Amino acid sequence: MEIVERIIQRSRRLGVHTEVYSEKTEISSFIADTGRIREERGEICGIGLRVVKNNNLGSFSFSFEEGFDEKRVLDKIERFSLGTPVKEPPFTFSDETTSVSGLCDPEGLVEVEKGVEIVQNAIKAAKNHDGRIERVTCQLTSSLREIEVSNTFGIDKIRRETRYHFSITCSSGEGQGREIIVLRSCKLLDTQQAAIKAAEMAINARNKQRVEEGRYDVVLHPGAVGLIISKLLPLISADRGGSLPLMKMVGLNPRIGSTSLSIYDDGTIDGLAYSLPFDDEGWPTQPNAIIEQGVFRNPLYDNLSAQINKRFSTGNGMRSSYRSDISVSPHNLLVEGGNLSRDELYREVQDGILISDLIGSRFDPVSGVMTAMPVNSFRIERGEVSYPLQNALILMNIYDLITKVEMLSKERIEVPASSYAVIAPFILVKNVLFTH
Amino acid sequence: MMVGDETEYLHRIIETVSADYLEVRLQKSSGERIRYTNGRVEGIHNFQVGDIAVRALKNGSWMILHRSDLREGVLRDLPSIILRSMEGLPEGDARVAGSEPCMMKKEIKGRDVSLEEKIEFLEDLQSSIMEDFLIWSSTILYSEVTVFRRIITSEGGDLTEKIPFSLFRSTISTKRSSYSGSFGFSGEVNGAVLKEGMEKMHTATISQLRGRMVKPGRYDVILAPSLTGLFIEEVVGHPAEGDFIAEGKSHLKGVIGEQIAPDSVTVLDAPVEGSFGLMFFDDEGVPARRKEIVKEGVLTGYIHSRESAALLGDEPNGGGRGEMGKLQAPRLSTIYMERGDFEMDELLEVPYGIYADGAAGGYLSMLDQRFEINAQEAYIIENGEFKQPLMGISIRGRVDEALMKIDAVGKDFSIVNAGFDDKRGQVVPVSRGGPSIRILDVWVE
Repeated sequence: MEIVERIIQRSRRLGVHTEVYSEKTEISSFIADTGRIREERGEICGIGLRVVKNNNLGSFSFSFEEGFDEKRVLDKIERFSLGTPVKEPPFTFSDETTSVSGLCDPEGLVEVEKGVEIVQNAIKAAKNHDGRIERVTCQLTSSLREIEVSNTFGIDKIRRETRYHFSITCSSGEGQGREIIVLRSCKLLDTQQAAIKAAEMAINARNKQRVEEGRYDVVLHPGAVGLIISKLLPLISADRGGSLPLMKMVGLNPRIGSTSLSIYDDGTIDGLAYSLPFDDEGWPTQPNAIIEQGVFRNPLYDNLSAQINKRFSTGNGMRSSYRSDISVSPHNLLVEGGNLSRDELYREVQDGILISDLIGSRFDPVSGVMTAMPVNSFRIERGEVSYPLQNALILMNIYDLITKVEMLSKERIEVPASSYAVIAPFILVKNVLFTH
Repeated sequence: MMVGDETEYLHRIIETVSADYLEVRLQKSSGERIRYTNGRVEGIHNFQVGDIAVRALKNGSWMILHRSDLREGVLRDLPSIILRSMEGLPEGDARVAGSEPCMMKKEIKGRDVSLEEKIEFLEDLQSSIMEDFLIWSSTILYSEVTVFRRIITSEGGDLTEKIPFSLFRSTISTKRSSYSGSFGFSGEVNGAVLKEGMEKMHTATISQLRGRMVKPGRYDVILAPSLTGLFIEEVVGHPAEGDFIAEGKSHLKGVIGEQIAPDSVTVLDAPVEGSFGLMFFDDEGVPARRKEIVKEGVLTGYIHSRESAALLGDEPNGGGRGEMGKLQAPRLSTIYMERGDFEMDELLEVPYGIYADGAAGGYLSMLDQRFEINAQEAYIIENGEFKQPLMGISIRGRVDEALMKIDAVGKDFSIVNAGFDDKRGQVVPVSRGGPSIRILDVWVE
C-alpha cells in the first residue's frame, strides 16, 4: 500500500520509530435460519500504527474517509510522548518468514449463488437424514484477508489468507447438535457430512434424564478440553505486568502438571486454519513447547512482553483487527494425546459421564476453581455411552486437573475457538462434582 | 463530496436501491484507550474510524453490506453491489414492522480533557490503592469514545446523534484475591461515583483475604445494585427479548398480564441520560423509549426489533440493536429495577443471610428456566450485622421461584455497572442496575 510507505518515510523524517499494520479483509456470510436466508457482506479496511517517540510507545488506528488527511495522522503520532515507556521499539527486526503452505485458496470469497446453494443443501441433508429434525440453522462465512506489516527498521511483509467457516445446528425436541468446521480451503469443506453429524447429535440428545447430584468420573470431549485450556491462556502467556502467568501462580517449581500433559502451540503447520507465516507484528511463527510432560517450559510472547522479560517473541503477537491492540494469542494449541482409544476411556470410567461441551463457565485464577454447565453430556454405564443428561453444573479445580490427568485418548479432534484452534484428545478426569 | 459529509451518497442509496425496506447506517467513532497499571501508563491507543452499513429487505430475504471505508469511490459503488447480491438471494419469509418516520438530531456534549489530565485522574484513582502493601497489582482500562450515528430509512426517517461514552474497567489483586469492577457513563464522567466505587473495590479485595468458602445451601440474600442489575438482566431482560419470544424459547412467552414477581418489582429498559447504554434511537432508526417490562410484578411488554415486532404483531419499540453489517436483534440498553421503600438497615434485617456485591457474570438456561449469577464479594449477615467475609459465591435457582421470593426493594439506586452484552456473536454496550434487593431462601454456593 502506498500510504504505508508514505507513513514510514514521514516517520523517518520526524525521527520516530513506527510500525504500520495495514488490513484489508473481505467477508461474505450466508446465514439460513427457519426458512429465510440472508447475506452479510463486508469489507474492513484500515491501518493500525504503533509509534515510539522519546522511548514511549503509543498506538493509533484509523479507517479511510474522503479527504483523509495523512498529516493529521502523523500529527497524532507526535502526541505520543506519554505512552508506555520502552527501552527500544518492540518492533520486529527479523525479515524472515516461516514457510507455511495452503493458507490462501485462489477461490477467494464464496459468491452469492454458490453460498446460497451450500447452505440450502446442508439444511436439506440434515432434514433428509432424519425426519425428526425440526429446525436447522446454518452459516457459511468466507473471508479473504491481506495484511501488511511494515516498520522503520526496514521490515515490510505481506500475507494473504482465506478462511472458510461453516457451522450447522440441528434441533429435535430438546436435543441439539452442532458442527463447526474452519478451513483454509473451500474445496475441503464437507458440509454434507457435517450436516449429518449435527443431525445425529441432535437425535441422540433427545429424552434427557436428570443427573443425580454427586461426584462422577468424567470423560471430557475435546470441545470441553478446549474451553478449559482457554481459561489457562492468560496464565501461559507472558507477563506484561498486570497478568499472572502460571509460573508466578504456582511458585518457582516449573512442574505444574502430570507427566501425561504436554501442550504446544504451533502456527507453522501447513494448511491449518490458524497457521501463519508471521504474526501481526511481522515476527515469524514457530513451534513452541508450553508445557512438556508436566513441566512449564515457555510462555507465549509478543514483542513487548518479550522485551519486558528479556526474551524473543514467539510469534504470538496478534490483533483481532486493525482497530485493536496487539495481544498475545496462540495459533494452533496442540494437546498431546495418550495411548487409549475412546472406548477404552469409557471402559476405564465404567460408571460416569461424557461431557461434550461446556458453557457459562466461571474461573477463579487464584484458586483454580471453575464452575461450568455441561451441554450435550451423556451417562456412561458399564463402560458404554448411554442416555443424554439434562443440564447441571460442574465444579472442578483446573490446577488439580492438570496435575492429575493421566488417561488421554490417541484420537484428537480440532476444535475452533474464536481466534485459534485447539487440537485435543478425550481426557479422563476423576471425581468431578455435579450439582443443580 | 464535502469532507466528512456523506449525505448525498446516503440518500442516493435510498433512492437507487429498490427494496421492500432499506436502511443506511453511518457511524463514526473517535476516542482513546489507556491502560494504567501499577502507577504507570502501560498503553495508549487512539482511534478514529468510520463505517457504513446498508440493510435491504426484498422478497423476504436480507442483504446486508458493510464497509469501513467512507471514501467517495467506495460509497459510489454500494448500490450496484447490493443490487447484484439481492438478485442471487432466494425468496424468504422475513418481514419488518413499520415505524412512524422520525427526524431527530441529538447531541450530548462531553468535556474536552487533555491526555495529561486523564492520566493524572487515573493516577489519583489508583494512588491510595497502590499505597496498600497488601495490593499486588491494580489495573485500570479506561476507554472513551465519541460516537456519531446517522440512520436513514426508506420510510423517510433521518436520525442523528452524537454521544461521548466512557468506561472504566478495573482489577485489583492481592496475592490471594482479585476483584474486577466496571463503571460506565455517557456525557461527563461522574468522578465522585467512580472514586467511591474504586474505594469499595479496594476494601472488598482486602476483605476477601479473610474470606471463607460459603457452606452451600439456602440463604436469604441481599443483592447490591450491580447484582440486582445482573439478576434482572438474566431472569427478566433477556427472556423478554422478542426474538426469544417468537422462537418459543423464553418462559415469558404468552404470559403478558400475568404476575411473575411481587408488587414491589418494576423493571424497565430505557434511554437514561448518563448511563453507558444510552441511545436516542436504536440501530433500525426507531426512537428509543421507556419500555416497561414488568410493572408492579406483572409482565407488561417485550423488547422488540422491527423483525420481532412483525413476527408477534407488535410495534417496534426501539430495541433493535446490532453491530455494523450484522442483522439487528432485540437487545437491552439500560435495564434497571425501580427503587422501593426499604432502607439498607431494614434490608439487612435477617437472622442469618448473605450480602452480595461485585457482579461477575451470569447465565440463564432458557430451556429449563435456571439462572446463575456470580458475586465476587459476599458477607454473612447475622441479625442485621456484617460478619464473616466469604469468597466469591454463585446464586442459583429457578427463575420463577427466585423472582417471587423478592421480599424487599431498597431506596438506594445505581446504574453505573456497565459492560458489553454478547448475543449471537454481536456485542453491544449496556448498563444495568437498580436498588439493593432481598431475595429469600435462594441457593448459594
